[in-house]
Amino acid sequence: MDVRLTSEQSLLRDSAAKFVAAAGPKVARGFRGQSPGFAPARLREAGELGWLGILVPEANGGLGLGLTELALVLQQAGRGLVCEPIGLAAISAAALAQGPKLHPMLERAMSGAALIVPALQEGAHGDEPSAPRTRLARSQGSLRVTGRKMFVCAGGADGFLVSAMGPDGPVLCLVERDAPGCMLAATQTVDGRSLFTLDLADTPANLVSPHPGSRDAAETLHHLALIALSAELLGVMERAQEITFDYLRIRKQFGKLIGSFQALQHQAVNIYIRTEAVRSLVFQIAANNEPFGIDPALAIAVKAKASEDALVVTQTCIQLHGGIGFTDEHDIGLYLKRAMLLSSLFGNVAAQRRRYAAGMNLSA
Amino acid sequence: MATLPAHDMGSAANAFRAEVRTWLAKNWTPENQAAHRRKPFKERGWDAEFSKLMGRDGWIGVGWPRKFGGQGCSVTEQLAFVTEMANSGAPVQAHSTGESIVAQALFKHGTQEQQDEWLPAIRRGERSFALGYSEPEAGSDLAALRTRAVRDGDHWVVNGQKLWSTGGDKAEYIWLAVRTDPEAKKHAGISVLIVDLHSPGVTLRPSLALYGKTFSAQFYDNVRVPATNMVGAVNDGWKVITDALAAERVMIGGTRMAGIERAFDRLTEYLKTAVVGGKALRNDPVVRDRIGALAADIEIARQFQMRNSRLIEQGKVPLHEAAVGKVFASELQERLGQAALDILGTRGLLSEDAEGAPLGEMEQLLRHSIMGMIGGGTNEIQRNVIAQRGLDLPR
Amino acid sequence: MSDPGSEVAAGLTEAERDILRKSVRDFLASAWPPDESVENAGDAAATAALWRGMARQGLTALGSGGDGTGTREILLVFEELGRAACPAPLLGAVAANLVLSRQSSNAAQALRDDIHQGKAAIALALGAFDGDPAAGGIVLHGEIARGELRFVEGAGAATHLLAFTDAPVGVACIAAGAPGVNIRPTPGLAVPPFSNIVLDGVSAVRLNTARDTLEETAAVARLACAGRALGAAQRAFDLAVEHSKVRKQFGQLIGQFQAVQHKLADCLIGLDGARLALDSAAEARDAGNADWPVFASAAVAFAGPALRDVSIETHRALGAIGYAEEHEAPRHFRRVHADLVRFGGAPRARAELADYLLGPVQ
Repeated sequence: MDVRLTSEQSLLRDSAAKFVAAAGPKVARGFRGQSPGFAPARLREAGELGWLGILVPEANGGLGLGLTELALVLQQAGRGLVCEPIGLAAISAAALAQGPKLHPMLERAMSGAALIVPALQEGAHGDEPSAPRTRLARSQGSLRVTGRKMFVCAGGADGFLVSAMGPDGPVLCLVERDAPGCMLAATQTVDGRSLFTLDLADTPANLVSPHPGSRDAAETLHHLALIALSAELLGVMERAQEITFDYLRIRKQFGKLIGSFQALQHQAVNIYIRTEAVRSLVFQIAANNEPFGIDPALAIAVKAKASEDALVVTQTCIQLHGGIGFTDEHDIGLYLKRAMLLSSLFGNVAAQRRRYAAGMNLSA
Repeated sequence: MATLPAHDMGSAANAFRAEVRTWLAKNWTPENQAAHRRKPFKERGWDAEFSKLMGRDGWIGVGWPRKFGGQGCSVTEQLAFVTEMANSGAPVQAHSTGESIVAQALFKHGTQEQQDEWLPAIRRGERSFALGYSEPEAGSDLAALRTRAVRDGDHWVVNGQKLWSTGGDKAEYIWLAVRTDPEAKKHAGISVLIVDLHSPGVTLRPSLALYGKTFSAQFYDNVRVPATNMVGAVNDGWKVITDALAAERVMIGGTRMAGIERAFDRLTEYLKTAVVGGKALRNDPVVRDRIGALAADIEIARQFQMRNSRLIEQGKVPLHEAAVGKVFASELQERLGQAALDILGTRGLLSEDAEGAPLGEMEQLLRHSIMGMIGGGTNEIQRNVIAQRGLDLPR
Repeated sequence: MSDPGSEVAAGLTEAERDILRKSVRDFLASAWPPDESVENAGDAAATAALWRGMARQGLTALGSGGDGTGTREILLVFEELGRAACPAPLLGAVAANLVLSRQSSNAAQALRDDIHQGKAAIALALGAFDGDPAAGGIVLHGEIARGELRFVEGAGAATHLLAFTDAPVGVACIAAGAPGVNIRPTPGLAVPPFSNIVLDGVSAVRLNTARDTLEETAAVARLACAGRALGAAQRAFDLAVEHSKVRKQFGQLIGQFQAVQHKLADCLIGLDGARLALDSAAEARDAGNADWPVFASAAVAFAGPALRDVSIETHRALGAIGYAEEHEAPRHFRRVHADLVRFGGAPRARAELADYLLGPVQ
């Protein structure tokens, strides 16, 4: 399926593709195990192109675009295994701009001068975003947060959007990296990227006001993240599949192109079906939801579907490559590892399904 | 321990198992293990010194016939042995290819001189081998290999390229499949040579595999190999290769099964106490259903393995039965890895040594499973074997 | 077998089993030929004649022990019944033999003799021991039974109904024609159809039987049904393999297409896995291995989805030819699905394995 795009959307996609052309597996490989694991200059470049403010209203200096445009950019980022956290930065900037009062950090977040990332996850199994265990309290006239956030993409970050339970319910607040009581511990992951545990002990924070149409800024950001990660996963599986299909068209064994073997053709078709289904779902949901009013059930559904299918697709891609796919120097393995990382962030397929069932009152 | 009931392997195997454990307790001490774990992940599993220790005490070649200095153990005892070794995590890769593939071929196809030269050294853990089969144009279609060997006096002169040799960066020798007759039909013109990897003209290019361990490519540029290093007759190599492979499938499967069972036991053990969001994970109906399904699959994989050993003990060569076992176990390993990721959540991503990774081997298990589905003949090729040999479907 | 679970190393040798398999297969080939099995299935007289024939073969005594046969042989015979798409009411007979062999009353011995001679045919209802929560159950007040039993097989040809009950624990034996017994066939995937049986104050003979015996008998019944599904799936698969060796499309035998080869290869993995695991569970019981229920759960948990897949892939290989009801394959499709979903099916078996490994849900 080709998503029907307006000419502006096509332009945006093309410029994202151009940006991504300078990324790709080779670059991603170079960032493995590095700190911060991406090029800050490239993040600023994405800021200059307006993408970090893609969801921010024009009146506030952003592009004022919607989820479709966000998805188009992140789909390209996924295709190119882009290491700069464009999606997380863009949704964080959107979160800073959602309230009636502009956040002082917004401008720097939009330009890429400062990197703000969400810090919402508290467990390995996905969370109920509106019930964080991290606490927000007022002491000596200022707001303080205490708690632990896990699996934060904190490499190179200057601040975090932390969900916390305040006296009147869940809130979202900004914590600066250098704030007292803010501690980060890195852990290496399969993707070669570090994830961080963020410990907050009575750390100063300031409140991010929610969108007038929503009651909980943290939940809004969580759902934005699910859409953003799904779009990126879509790009990962698309590109892995293209690489694989190209290989099926040139690799010969037993005197024939391996793409002519039925067993491989059928596996190829099966992953094609999965990728197309994810594409349809991502863009359907993007087209029919406002950034600050995403239907939770749809956000959960698309992340569940994309998380599951991206793993199946990228693994099948390796299988279709045979021995060469198993070498670390071949790019196809990088797509599997990226898919493993993105699938698990903010809850894997099992976590999403659990939450979906709970939301439908299906759980025991 | 949260584990399926074991099948009784018989008193001889049980006693043998106990003996292996006693030896391991003495020689694979917690200190040894800790030292081994301090090595980078890619270096683990291969330890020339430990291989020599095993050789010294007679633990290499337990399944070899007595006339070659082995213990003449039954298949069941050998399985008990590889299971114990795999469970212990002791490094056996430095000698395993020589002990299994190379020795098997030498028993059947080696000359007296070759047997005398190689077998005792392999048994002492002093010879390490990698396999030189795959090439850029010869993966599944191994018989399409092009690396050439041309006779020149007392030597063969080798030119060509090999890929994906596990341990190829660490081994001293390579068990090399070469083409000696380019005119013959594909399978007919192949021979096997033992090549010293330090010979002039050999260039190694080590690389990392998806599961974090090394393998290597090698380039052969006019490498001179003594003619006495050819195993089997000239142009008879296909038979040498397939005989050795068939004999070894079951032991390779045994190691794989032990890995699967160990990972599953650790997962269920973890689940007994894990709490998520204030709820015991073990009470989650989805988790329970998945664990039940995996347990059943593990039992089936054991059944396939036991069938293969029965066949060997009856003097038969499991062919399609071995393929059935391989396809099933490798795909089970993948399902187990996936299930672990789903159950463990983001923590399942963390590498083995990462802090807060209670079951850090899980993501590596998943990555390793892909090798199981590709290496030693892809599962697609295995399914061809099952269809054509097991069901007699037309080619 | 006089005491389920207590004897050691029941069962025949491999050579004896081969002879048994051949004799059962030959018998069924003449007594229940595939090309007549559809019309025969609806003919009560044909089923009765078949049952008498099975009695002459000694098959109606299966489960009684004494002849050296064990659980593996029960499994073997059920596999053959599945192959032949044969609806002989053997499930009831095996369960009755397992239970009655522990009973010394005259009534019990008389019923057992009638079963062995083919005069009596038993419909079995496991009630509270069924594993399917919708299977219903009965309550005994003295010698009077009340309740509703669902998914009962073989009620059409039955002379007696054997119903397990946990209130109180035991077995109720009821004459099928007794006043107050209301049997209604419930057509569906199973052929012949299951029945709903309503007992409205029916007089019953109560056989005191230990809970362990009832549970063990129910477990054997479950294994037997899985074995019957295996036989059916294997037979349909054999037909598909033969078909793929003779059927040509696009100028070649369809068995040459990788897509067909790989499907059939996967089927063989499923069939072999199910057979090895079922047989190993039965063997464990015959050897007095206390862990045999765990192996049985594993076998059923695997066989459920695997044999269903075999059944479906078989039809895909056969194409439209296998979709006609006059072909043998649809009967096997029905049998596989009907037998595998009973008694809680694979989900229950998976839950049992989880109970074993993780402990029960708290």
